[in-house]
Amino acid sequence: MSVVETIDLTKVYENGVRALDSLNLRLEGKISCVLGRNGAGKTTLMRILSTQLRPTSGRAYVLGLDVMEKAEEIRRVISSIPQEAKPMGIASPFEHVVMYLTARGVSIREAMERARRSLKEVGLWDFMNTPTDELSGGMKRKVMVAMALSAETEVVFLDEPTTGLDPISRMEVWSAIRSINSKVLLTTHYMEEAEQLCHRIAIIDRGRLKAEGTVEDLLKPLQGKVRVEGVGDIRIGKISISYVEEHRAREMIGKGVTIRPVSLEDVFILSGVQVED
Amino acid sequence: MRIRFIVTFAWFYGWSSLKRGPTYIISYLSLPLSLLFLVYVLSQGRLVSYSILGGLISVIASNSLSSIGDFAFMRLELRLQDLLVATEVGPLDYMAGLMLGNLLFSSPGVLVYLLMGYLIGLIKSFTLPLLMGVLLLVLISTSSLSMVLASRLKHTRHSWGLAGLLSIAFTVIPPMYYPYDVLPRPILYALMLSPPTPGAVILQSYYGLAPGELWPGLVLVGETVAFLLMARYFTRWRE
Repeated sequence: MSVVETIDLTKVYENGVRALDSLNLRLEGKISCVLGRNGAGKTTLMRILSTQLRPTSGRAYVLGLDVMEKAEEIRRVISSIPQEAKPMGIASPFEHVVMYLTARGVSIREAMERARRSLKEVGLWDFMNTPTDELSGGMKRKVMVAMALSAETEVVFLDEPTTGLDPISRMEVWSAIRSINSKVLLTTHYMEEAEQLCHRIAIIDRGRLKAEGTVEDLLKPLQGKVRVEGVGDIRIGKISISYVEEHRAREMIGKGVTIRPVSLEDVFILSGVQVED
Repeated sequence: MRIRFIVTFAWFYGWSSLKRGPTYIISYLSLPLSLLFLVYVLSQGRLVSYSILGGLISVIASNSLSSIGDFAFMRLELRLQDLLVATEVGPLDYMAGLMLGNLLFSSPGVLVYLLMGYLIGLIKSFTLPLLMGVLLLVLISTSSLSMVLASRLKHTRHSWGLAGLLSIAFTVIPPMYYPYDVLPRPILYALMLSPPTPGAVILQSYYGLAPGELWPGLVLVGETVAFLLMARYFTRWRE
């Protein structure tokens, strides 16, 4: 059974913005990623899948359950951290996790136990009782991640969980995500994160699916090629890019170009979207 | 109702504020205490009993109405509502948690007024059940109204202004600090739209400060049920 599936999923907001445009997507595997630029529709997709937002048309399923007809059942098996979710400044990380777990029906004793465990796992043990307005931005993000991970639900939705985190903190969060038994669907801007963490990756742009598969599947069309910056038809800002065979690229050395091995970023570029940062 | 969540949310929201932000308590006490002082000076002590009863209702109502800001802030800035929508918690559980949290940090104010009422011989222990019942209905009705309004706001910046405006309209203009029978009937009826007004009329009647009337009791119960139903059915929960 797929973790999530969408069929012609469309969301048009009241202001006329079409965030999702007949999106057809099916993701399986332990950790799946949705990649896309700002405004690609990632957050809208996550909000619909986690039953926070109603779609305009089309269907969406989580573990085979329809988000419109079986919302209550879905809520029992998911936990979700919205992209812009922030902790309440006056409460501590420990209080946040315990509150969230009781919302999930966990007993208070068990919630306290799990809160300590998950906060230790994301590296917040020493700040467990500190009001969150005294924590750094990255630490605040980790509080939210700890909440989702501690819930131990079948599926966890994380909308850009590592945005704003330093490399070490990001690795701590990755480690925590890998260690849980839940299936995880996360959105990210970071190619490295998707490559390191995700078994399946979907790239979306302007509400439509551009590519989907494992990292290897997605890189297959670029096998044997390298990225040449300084020459080519693809323009990103002021940089021209092309993808050529390795032996051809070698001939270009010394002609003012930069040669790089291909990565997921190149799949992202070739799928019709432009990298932002 | 998810009692465990409600209690924990009150601890999360109310107790943490009480523990780490005592200025909140002082700020919620400041207006009713200032009005009490003003009424004491102007009436040369004659209307102090009204002000104590009014102050009790006022602390509860202004606290609940200020939760418009909290509801909106948690929904629009912290995205806490989104987080909870994706759980088994419903809008009334969330409202009850916030309401109880608000009650926690308005409790010092309630205690101050109860103590003053006791010291001047106005409040006796056998009158507490009705007093608490009225305060509970005011708390539920104003919190319900706050939740509905906050869930409809598109920007947090509107919430603080709205909360302040309603707080004045609900706790200063109605007969909180003066006898309700000085008001012309049409104005009294109009003010009955705000739950603190029937609450104040009931308490003034019960404590023998003004003529006794039964109908405000029905109005308060009716408004509480109506606002609660509004919170259940008109709060924007899942968008």
